[in-house]
Amino acid sequence: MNKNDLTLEELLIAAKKSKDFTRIERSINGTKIYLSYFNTLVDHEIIQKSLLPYLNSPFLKNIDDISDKLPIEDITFTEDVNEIYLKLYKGHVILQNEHSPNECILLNIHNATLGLRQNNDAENEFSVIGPKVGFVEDLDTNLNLLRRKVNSQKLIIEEMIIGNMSKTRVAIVYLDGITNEQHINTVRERLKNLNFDIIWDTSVLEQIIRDHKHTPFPLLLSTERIDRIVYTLVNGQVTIFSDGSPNAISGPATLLDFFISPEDYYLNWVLGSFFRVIRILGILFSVFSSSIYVAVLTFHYEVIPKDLLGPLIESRANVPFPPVLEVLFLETTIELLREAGARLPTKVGQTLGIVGGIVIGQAAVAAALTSNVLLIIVSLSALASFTTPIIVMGNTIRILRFFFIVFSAFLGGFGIIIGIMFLLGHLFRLKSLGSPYIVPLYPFRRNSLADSFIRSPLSTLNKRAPYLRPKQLMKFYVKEMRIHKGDLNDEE
Amino acid sequence: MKNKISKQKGILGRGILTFLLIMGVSGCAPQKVIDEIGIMHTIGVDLVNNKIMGSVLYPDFTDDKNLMLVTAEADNLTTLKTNLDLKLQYPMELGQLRVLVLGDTLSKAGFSRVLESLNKDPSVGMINVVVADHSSRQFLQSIIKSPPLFLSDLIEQATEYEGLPDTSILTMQYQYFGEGIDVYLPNVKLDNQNKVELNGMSIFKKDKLKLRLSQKETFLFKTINEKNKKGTYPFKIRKNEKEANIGIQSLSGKHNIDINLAENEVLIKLNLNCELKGLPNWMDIRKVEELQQIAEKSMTNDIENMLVKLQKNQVDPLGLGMIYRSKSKIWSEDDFYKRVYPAFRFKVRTKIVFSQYGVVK
Amino acid sequence: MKTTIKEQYLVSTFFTFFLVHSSQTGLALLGFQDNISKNAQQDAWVSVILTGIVIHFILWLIYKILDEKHPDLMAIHHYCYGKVIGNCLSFFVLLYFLLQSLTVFWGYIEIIQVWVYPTLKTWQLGIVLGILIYYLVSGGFRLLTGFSFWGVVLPSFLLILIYFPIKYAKTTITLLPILNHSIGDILLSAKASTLLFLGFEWILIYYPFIKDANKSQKWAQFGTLYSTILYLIITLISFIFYNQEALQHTPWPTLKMVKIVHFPFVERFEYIFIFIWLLVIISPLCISIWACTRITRRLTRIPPKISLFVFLIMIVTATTSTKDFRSVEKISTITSEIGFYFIYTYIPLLFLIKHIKMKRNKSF
Repeated sequence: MNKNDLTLEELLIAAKKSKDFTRIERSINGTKIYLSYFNTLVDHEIIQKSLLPYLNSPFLKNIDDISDKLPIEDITFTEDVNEIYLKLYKGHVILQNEHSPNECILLNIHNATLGLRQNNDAENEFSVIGPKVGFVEDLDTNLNLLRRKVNSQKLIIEEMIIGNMSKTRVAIVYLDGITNEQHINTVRERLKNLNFDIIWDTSVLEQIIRDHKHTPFPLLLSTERIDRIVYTLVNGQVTIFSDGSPNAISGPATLLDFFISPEDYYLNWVLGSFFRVIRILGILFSVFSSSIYVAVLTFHYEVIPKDLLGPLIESRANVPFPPVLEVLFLETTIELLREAGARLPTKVGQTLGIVGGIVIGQAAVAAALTSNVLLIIVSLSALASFTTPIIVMGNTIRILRFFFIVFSAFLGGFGIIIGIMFLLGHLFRLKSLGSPYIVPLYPFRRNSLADSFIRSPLSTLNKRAPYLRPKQLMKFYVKEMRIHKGDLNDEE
Repeated sequence: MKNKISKQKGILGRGILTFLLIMGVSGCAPQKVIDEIGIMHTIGVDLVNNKIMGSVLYPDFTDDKNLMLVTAEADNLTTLKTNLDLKLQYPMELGQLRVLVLGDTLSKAGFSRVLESLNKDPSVGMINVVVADHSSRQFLQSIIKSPPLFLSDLIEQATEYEGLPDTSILTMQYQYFGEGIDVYLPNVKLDNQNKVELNGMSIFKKDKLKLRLSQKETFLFKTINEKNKKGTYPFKIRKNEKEANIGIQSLSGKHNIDINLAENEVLIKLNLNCELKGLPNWMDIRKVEELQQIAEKSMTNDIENMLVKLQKNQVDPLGLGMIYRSKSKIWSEDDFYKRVYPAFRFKVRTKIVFSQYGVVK
Repeated sequence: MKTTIKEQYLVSTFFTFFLVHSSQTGLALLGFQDNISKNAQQDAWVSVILTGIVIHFILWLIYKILDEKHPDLMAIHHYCYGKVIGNCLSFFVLLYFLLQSLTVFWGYIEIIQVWVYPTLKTWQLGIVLGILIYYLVSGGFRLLTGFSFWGVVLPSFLLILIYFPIKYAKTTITLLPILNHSIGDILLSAKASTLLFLGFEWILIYYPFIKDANKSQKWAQFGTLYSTILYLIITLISFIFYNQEALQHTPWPTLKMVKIVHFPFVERFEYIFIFIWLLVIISPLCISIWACTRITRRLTRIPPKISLFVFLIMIVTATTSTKDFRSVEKISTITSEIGFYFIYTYIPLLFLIKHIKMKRNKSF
């Protein structure tokens, strides 16, 4: 933290400049005491019920009684100006007596929930099955939610203050004896070395502490779902919370983590695997479909099956632009719709969906700006990009799409494969908190494939991912359960 | 700190530079936008005054899916393409070519110059080649009102179900370059109502037309040459002074060709599973063995006759030369066709099993 | 000169399989059948097996040459010939590797030009590929290993396509009669098929990058075995798909065979095949250039990124220097000739010299 070489007086004078600073005088047993606080930060109910009535009353004999007798939990005695400074702005009340004005008593009367939403539904990462509670903007609530799921002495929460303006509380959470120390140390080091004014959100933290700056890929998993964070913790990852942010970030993350939805685990493994495969195929489709359209229609008319050739040419016959412009036009339209939908209030958003999706699409075809076939391809691929369980990844996917469109526009199929090469080369280089990003694909880990493209039965997922180098590999030991299935073996 | 920032800028700058370089460099990749090229579906080649006359059928999708016909003359295929392009709005592309029709003038004079130049063009895919019984231009003229892929679909369908031999430009190359086998291609002709009809096949010696087989012979040829044995075989049956012509439908089967070098004998075994249809009322279905024997005998006879016909015309579409070559240590193509092949005797053993009877009581 | 590599840059032992196998497959797989069957005709598959066996032996020799103390070619050259001569010889090996990368680089550009973009200029493709290679090679050996792994695993689904020519081929009698060619013909064909396996000798350079390298021989041998089997299968299939005479009239038999593949959603699979093939050739291409930069680094103080840049400029310039389409074939013949003598003469020689020297050192 940066040192303020202020004296207490200077501090109070600086604070007085603000209108919401309050300084009142009371007395205990004839000794004058001063209360200083920001009335915008404190809970007035507590002040009126638990603080003021006791002052001026014979209930308190002297100043030292305060910590014993006042019904307030968090009371500290300090002379440290820095601490006073910090806590004053966090909603503490400073209590000074006239004899020794430097010895302050700090009472925590912070109104922590003032102005925060009460609703903590997981809105952005919805799942049909399973809990729907998500994190909120308050750090303590979030940690409370977390402790409720993980009842273990292994759950360690470390706290630090970050941001020279915001003084945000940031918590590092991990499981002691499971998470590899190297990861914890990396996170600690990076957070310690971080210099920033205001920590708006954990996503800002993510951008600052990530390993590579020049990549569209999210390198740490950011989520608002509790179950997801618990899952990462249990697997041996480190989680970072920051006060004021409804998202927690977890690392080291891998590429595949971003395509996994908690719902995969709430469904039977057959269904879970099926949906996961569908999702991954959908994402591949989303990345490549429009660039393949451009490549085929601009350079490789030979690969079109003979029965498809007629419909394709017919639908394009009246479009005056080359396929690239056609695709870019439609892709940009979809991006606009998405962006508008994200900014608009929910109710207007629905109307927009109808106007955008149906009216504009049809009109574009009728006006011969695009072809029918392309309209289907582009809207399907937009749809597929929204199946990513983590929204940030969905954005990455859409960026990648443009990258491939440009490549295919210039070099056709060869351009696409060159683009794939660059993408693979890029992915092979990426690291998340110092460990490889596309593990288990490379470095190849065969036994981690059980929970990658498919989701194996829960009883087989009793090991932590070895690539996280957990200190304890087994999550639990499977007990054999004798269940009569009613087959040939049971008839004996 | 300062150093670090400038280095990062370097990475970003280099990335953008690379991207721009790649794009700038490759900016001029040749485009063939799908609606700005002429897509040839069918090409007919004739020989007129020792010049190649090419007639091309191509679909015009902007105009009610009509087929268009354009014709040009040239000394070779490469200039033919140029001469065609000179008459058209868009450049012609070979990549979606489906059918090549050889006019009778060309097939008699030899198709080698067409085949060899198509063989060297990588944009040519799998093409069906058919032989017209007169000018291919006239032939294409008559299918101009049909859907664009009419001819190629027709050939595909007939190859799959109706006993037409499975050929393409690849088999043609195989047979043309390979020793011990001759090229054969399906025939097309116009019937008396000026409609297209596939009819039998033509056999070439090297690249020159030598012999045409009828549809019935072609089917028999297919049964002893290909795995797919679907097709129909008609034969006559005479009993108690009653006569009928029965068609059996072959469903599947197996064949085996073996050459006995010592006795100069070609042994052909053929097993067919057939469906019996349209049995006359006076025939007793329970006496199916009798019917089988008649069919087998008739088929054996026909196949033997067909083989002898091939032998007499000095053509070998069956690839007996290849079989001979695989069995003997010494091989000379000339020697085989001059000396060995004419001396072959053919022995055919046919076995027909009626596995289905149709709706018969 | 440091020869030990930091732990974090090493690759697992079993990746040797993919490194060796991917170096042996590549551009040659697209059209080798006409070359190897020129002499032994339908018996050329015997030559492939023969070559495979010899390559196993040479690989064994290489593993005998390399040891803990001398983990790469440069160290061995130093040990056997002293500093000056050793460095000179390493430099010649560098030139040979550079020639190999040039062959693949040029060959692939030629295929792209012939099959897909006839009017695209060589320098355009050259610069695009050059930038790609620079980006990948500058990622280091671990990244290249990743490419060799995925360059083997991903394209192996193309093996399914074997079904099409097998279904298409009417007869297998083109493989008969077996062994009616003289031993001389078969050996000549075996010489032609040596070209297919070239590339495994790069292990002389990347050996120190393998974890527990002395245990990796098993994997290297498996890699070679897999390549042999793959080549054998492709050879046999092309021999029944074509006959010998048609084969000689077909410049890229594998590609032409892919022409018959068609699915309801895509036709003319050879275009896609050619593009996917970049995934196969990129890792041998990059590893050979990487080997060059590694040799340079060990001989001089030039940083790898600079030497990599220089080598790429050299390769791109060489490809654009001549427009004659026969030069690709010429350069490929020269490379395979040098490669032939390198692995069959130089490596056994090196083996002998090293062992004589070792014995002498022991006796002193």
